[in-house]
Amino acid sequence: MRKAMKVIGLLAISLTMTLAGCSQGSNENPGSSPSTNNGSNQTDKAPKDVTLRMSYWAGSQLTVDKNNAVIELFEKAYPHIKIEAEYYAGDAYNDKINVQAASNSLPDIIRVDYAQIKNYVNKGLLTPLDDYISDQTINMEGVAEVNMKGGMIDGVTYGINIGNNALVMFYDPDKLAEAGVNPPGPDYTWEQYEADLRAVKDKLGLYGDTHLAREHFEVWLRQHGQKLYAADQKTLGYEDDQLFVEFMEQQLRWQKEEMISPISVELEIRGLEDGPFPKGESAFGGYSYWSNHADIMETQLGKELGMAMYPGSGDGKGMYMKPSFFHGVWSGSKHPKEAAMFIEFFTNNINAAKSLNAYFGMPYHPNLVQEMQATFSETQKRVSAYLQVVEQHSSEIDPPAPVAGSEVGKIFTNVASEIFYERITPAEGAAKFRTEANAALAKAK
Amino acid sequence: MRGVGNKSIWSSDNTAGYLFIFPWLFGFLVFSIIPIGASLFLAFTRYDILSPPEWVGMDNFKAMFTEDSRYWLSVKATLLFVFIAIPLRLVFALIVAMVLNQKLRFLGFFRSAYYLPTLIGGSVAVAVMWRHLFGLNGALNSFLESAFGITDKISWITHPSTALPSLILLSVWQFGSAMLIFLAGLKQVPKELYEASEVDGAGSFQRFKSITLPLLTPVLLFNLIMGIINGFKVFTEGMIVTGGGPFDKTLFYVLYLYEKSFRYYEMGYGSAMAWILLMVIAAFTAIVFTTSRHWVHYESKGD
Repeated sequence: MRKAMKVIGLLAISLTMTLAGCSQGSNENPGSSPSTNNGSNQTDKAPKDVTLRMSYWAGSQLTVDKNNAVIELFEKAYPHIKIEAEYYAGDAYNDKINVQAASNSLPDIIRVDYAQIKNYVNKGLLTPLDDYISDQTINMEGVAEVNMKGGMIDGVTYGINIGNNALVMFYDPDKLAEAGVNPPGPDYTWEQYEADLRAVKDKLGLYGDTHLAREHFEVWLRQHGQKLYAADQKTLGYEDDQLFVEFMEQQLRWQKEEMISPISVELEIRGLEDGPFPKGESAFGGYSYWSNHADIMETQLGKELGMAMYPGSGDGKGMYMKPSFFHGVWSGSKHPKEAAMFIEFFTNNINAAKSLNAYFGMPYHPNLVQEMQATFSETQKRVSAYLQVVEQHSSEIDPPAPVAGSEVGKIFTNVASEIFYERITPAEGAAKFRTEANAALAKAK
Repeated sequence: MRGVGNKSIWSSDNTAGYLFIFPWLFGFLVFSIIPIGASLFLAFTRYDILSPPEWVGMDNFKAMFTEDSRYWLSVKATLLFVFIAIPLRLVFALIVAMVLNQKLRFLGFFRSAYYLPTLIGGSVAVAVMWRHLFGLNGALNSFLESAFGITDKISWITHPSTALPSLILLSVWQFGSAMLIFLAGLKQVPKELYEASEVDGAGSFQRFKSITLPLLTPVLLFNLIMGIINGFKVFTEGMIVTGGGPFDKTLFYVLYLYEKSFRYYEMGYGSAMAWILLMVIAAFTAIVFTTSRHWVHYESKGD
């Protein structure tokens, strides 16, 4: 009997210890445990201490600093709310969100890209925000519909646009002047672009630009009245493979004449500060840069830069305004109201906007736009002017990419690399891309 | 009070043992056995993490073998890696072990130096360093330029012909652990055998072939098995250094599994891939074990 008691006692102790150890381990976020404990026991007047988690995409230190600055302002304005921020770069960001979603531990505030928001909504990860908008926790009065549309799925708002962006081709005005090239205007054509690349190479011995990216291909298709994905998103949206072939053939031409950087250089690029343009080795910087990268580029090169639309955008069919990111609230968040308050602050508060200086995209709230004009840095004034040009030469953004969008992107990059390493011809590449992309789109739901 | 052996595993004599290993056993069940079982179930489903799994039977396997060209690219990259890197690594390990088996000065230093790469091995830091060595503007190209005047630079890690070899090189560079085990095996070869063979007039190659190699075969078997298992699981190098290489040239099996599961939300497919990998590794290991009867010479077995 005594021995049995000893055994049971030891078992109980080791069991408790193991369980305690396990539950401690699985609770990765120290932040959320105090908030769940303080939880809903009291509903008195004084706001109870709340800790929120947020996650965002950061490819450079500047992004982290800007984000933290806004968090500090918010915490000063609302002392009872603390924000713990996590950030990841590149592909790792979406990977991390997926893992957190699978373990039911998403942050309260999630910064979501346009490419992913539909997928997250379909999986029930985001809370509808319409209630917070109607009771003015998030104040969207007077905001133009076009800025809200991207975040609305089936008529319900799930994400608040944090600022507008557009694809951009940076250029170094000094290098262009040296090469005797006119800076590109809204009516820049592809033929002129090719001639200019040649001029830069001949006169300066520098690269003109890098190869074109998938973003260029999407714009190229739009310029020819096509789309990358069909309306039902089960197949590609363009029938004529000749479009793909032309797109690749012109790059092969440029590659042969060494007017663009070699593909091996581009495959090594890691981060926004890396690459021929930020390092001053090319005159144009198309790559896949967005207008809110202007700050980083100008810091890297230490000078004023020009911003132009992609060639062939004169008729306004190709370019589009893109919400840079959305802020969404996790459907399992214990403090959706506080999360909504932070989103409102980040998007609409004038001090936050001044601190950010349109780093995450151009503000669009009419109140802000007026006030910001006075405080914009030179860089931001230029970005703002550029976005106005784009606004006049753009058409509606394509619907959000389907779930298989990242796979299609990878297939495109792979096929493009094969073409540029001259393993297959553009015609073979066009067929290969179509077959593999359609297969990926057909499989996904 | 305590009984002699031959009691069943449930006898109370072993209770204390069970209690002591209980934490490990619990962890093993919860963190290994249950996930493995779940993965077997998921291999027959369509599961995108965020919604419940949906049974699809053999569809994943069918798609893998017949419809997925990238799958075969990943198989090819992994097989090339295993069949080139593992033998190369073992050969280097053996050669260096034999060199270090002699009475050299600073022997301890050399042993540590050669073992060091294994320690820092599969880490992100090494992968980043490899990029700096073999990149377009890396150390190797600078060396080639200054020593041989070769100005036509290629990026060894992103060029399709050299991406996989550069990763194989990274793996072979980490031969230290195999080398240490060979060294231990070499030290067990009785010196008298060498002396006797010298008396009989055997050359050094003859000595190696007839004495060293046969007596090393148990160690060789161990290193071979470990090498095969780890070779098939290669992931970090592919992920960090080349990201799957130019158009999937270095898309290792586990890397493709990761992509499919976490980037394209096809966890069922990834689980199916994992089980195929398990079966392949098991098959190779079984082959090596069964043929080992013919070429491994165990001293202790007697005749």
